[in-house]
Amino acid sequence: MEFSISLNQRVSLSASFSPTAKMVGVSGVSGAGKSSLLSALAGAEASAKVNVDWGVDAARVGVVFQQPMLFPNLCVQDNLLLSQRYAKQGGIDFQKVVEGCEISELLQRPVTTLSGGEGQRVAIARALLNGPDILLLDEALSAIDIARRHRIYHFLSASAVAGYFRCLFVSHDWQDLALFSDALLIIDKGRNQHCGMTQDVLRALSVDELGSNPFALLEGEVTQTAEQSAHALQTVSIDNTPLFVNQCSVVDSRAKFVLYASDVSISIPSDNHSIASEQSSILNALRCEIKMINDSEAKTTGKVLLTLEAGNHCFYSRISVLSLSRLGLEKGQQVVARFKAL
Amino acid sequence: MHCCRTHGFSWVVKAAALPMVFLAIIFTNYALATQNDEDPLKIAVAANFSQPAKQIAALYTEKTGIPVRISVGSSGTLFAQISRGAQFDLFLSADSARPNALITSGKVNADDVFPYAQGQLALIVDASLFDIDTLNWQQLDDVFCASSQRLAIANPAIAPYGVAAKEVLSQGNAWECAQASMVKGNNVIQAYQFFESGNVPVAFVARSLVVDRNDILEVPSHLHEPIVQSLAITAPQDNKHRASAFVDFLLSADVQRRLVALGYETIAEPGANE
Amino acid sequence: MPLDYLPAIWLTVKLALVTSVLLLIIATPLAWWLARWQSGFKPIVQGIIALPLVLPPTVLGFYLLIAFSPDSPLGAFWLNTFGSTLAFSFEGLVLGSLLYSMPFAVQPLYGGFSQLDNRYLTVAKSLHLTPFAIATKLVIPLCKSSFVVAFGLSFAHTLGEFGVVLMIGGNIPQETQVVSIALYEQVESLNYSGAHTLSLVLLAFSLLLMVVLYWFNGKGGLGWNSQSR
Repeated sequence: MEFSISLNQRVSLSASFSPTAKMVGVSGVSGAGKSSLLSALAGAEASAKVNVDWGVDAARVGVVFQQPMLFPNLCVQDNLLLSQRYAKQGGIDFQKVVEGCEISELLQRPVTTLSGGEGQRVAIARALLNGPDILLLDEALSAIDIARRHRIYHFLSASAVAGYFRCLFVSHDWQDLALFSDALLIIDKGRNQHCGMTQDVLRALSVDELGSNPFALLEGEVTQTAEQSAHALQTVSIDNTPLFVNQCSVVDSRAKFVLYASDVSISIPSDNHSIASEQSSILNALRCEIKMINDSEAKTTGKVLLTLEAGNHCFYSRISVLSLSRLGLEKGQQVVARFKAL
Repeated sequence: MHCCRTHGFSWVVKAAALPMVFLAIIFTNYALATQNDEDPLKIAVAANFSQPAKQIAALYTEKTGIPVRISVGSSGTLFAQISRGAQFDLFLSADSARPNALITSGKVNADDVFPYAQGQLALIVDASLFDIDTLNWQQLDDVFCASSQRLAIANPAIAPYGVAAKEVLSQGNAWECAQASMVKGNNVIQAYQFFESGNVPVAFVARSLVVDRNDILEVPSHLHEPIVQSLAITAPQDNKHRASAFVDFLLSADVQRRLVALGYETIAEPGANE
Repeated sequence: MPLDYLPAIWLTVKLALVTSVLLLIIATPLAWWLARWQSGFKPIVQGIIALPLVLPPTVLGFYLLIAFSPDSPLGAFWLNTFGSTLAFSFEGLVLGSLLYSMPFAVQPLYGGFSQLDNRYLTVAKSLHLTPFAIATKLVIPLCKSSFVVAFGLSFAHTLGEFGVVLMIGGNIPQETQVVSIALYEQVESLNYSGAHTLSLVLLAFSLLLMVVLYWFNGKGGLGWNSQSR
């Protein structure tokens, strides 16, 4: 898929993505032009010059905005059925969509009684039932709570992989973007700042661009799924170390999860080779090396940011200046990073 | 919601401005009104007599210096207004029924009602559309039963000229024949309007409306009851003498002669002293 | 005797009904286009449409009389096509009433359409609904009260039409003698009891109509458009 858009002064960019990118995330600071971009791609901006190749002939484009805009004169089910009536062949089955968007209990409700999150779920289902080739989501899950949101993203991701559509979604949430996108487009002031496969883009971002709580996207092999274990956690192997992870995105047997700097603590390894600590509730321990210590905010927040590396996995830890000096941490030192199963 | 600033001169000025302007207009109007040395004579006139009435009023003002104010309306409406207290000094009706009705209802005395003119009917025809080379007034059937063209008259239910037209058509079967194609204007002027605008090719109108034209056919007056137009003096007691003076003028020989030129017949009995 | 007035009453109702239905058909696309049109000329068009609100009806009737005459293009066309004059006919009254009551149909519809959130239409288009489906399944249900008000007001306004009919009607029973004209005739011929009867009928009917209209509008009203979900 590739497109180039020019819309007045708001947006002027081109981007292209590999055919394997089924879910493309779009991000940028507020006012960067994300909504205008989506609006133009949807064909809703009369004054925009849009040049798009979706990779599909005569592509049907569906769009869901942050405001659900459900038709108030119809109940939820009628909204869905109306959409399905004008769908092309080969869309996802009605029941599957209803389950995937978790709206089974809402079907008979009048639209005006729905909460923000409920409305958004219905709006997504309605767009899906229309059988789009391309699905554009403009912060369309913003009002849905995190657990349900992830489940819906999973559903969308699985459907996209199954070939029903390709999805472009705008989000502010770095975790959502990191976990569920194959490719990323970062916009700043209406221009293409970064564009490419997700891991590449994330690695290219500087620490400041990662937001106030820097994070890393770690990817590894699933050695034990949640269903197989006695506890409801996936076991993911990072640098040959089993890690217990809750919120992650699993495709085939590869899992991705986001690790925030604020969740990572540092400890000095003892002589004992085993670092796994059965005395603490912090489940995960990973040997790593301190690549960099960033103390630019030390005076203001009393914290420093460590860049750590384990194998070829790079991630961050934010600790207090006090801890830094107590532990006597230095660049190049081998330490153990500890974090809970998130 | 902003709080009114109750301090400061400007607020007072602004708040008082509108009522002041309003009052100023009213006072000015009143002042201007009382500036006339003479109160005008207020006359209500039926529509068909409005042109002659204006001419005669102008002559009267020229002669006596008394201004005359004319209100034109339909006889029925004016009657209704006068019955309910409208202040006119004179009511010049298109018929006699209305002034007589005022006597019956006690609004005026019998000796305050005078005939002032006699109306005449005329027939106007668009010869290109309506076949009328020989018109036998005794045999109107031939003309009106043969043609399907529309005919306009004043509404007999409410206009004396319409009553007369109906009487004329009732010689023979013409009235029945014409029913299907008849169009009724609410007064004789509207019947004329229908003709003038080209919507009907033939119409019974008042002679006074078409006195300047020479393509009209005068309707023999013996074919209908006379259209006697009467007036009623409706002035309050203290103004009656001024109203009477105007009536005398209206009924004077000179003025009556003018009426002939305007398409009316003089009334059979000449009016009061000249 | 009240039965004598039945033809006039029926004629009046028929005129109001035909006019209101036709007005809905004409005013809907007009109001829709107007609601979506952005231009400096808009006030001019709106002013023209609103003219019948401020013009004395007799002025309108007068110009219609001239326009209906066989001497002018419209009247001549009608005469040639249908064999009778446009003036003094029910069809002529309908034409006059369409102009006379037009603003009463356009204004409520314009208001309703302007208030309709554009995003509903964007979404409907993105769901590939046909324009017909958008009109029937979305616009009409969401603007239902505007349609009702437009119909009701044009109907009520046409019921009371007088000045225009006076000029072009010709007072033909069962063809152009509507209640207001019959009423006028009663007053003019000093038949006040007949006038009372007709007036009361017209008054009662109009009041009933307006009450029903306001009741419906208050109930159904603006519920949908003010909140977008």
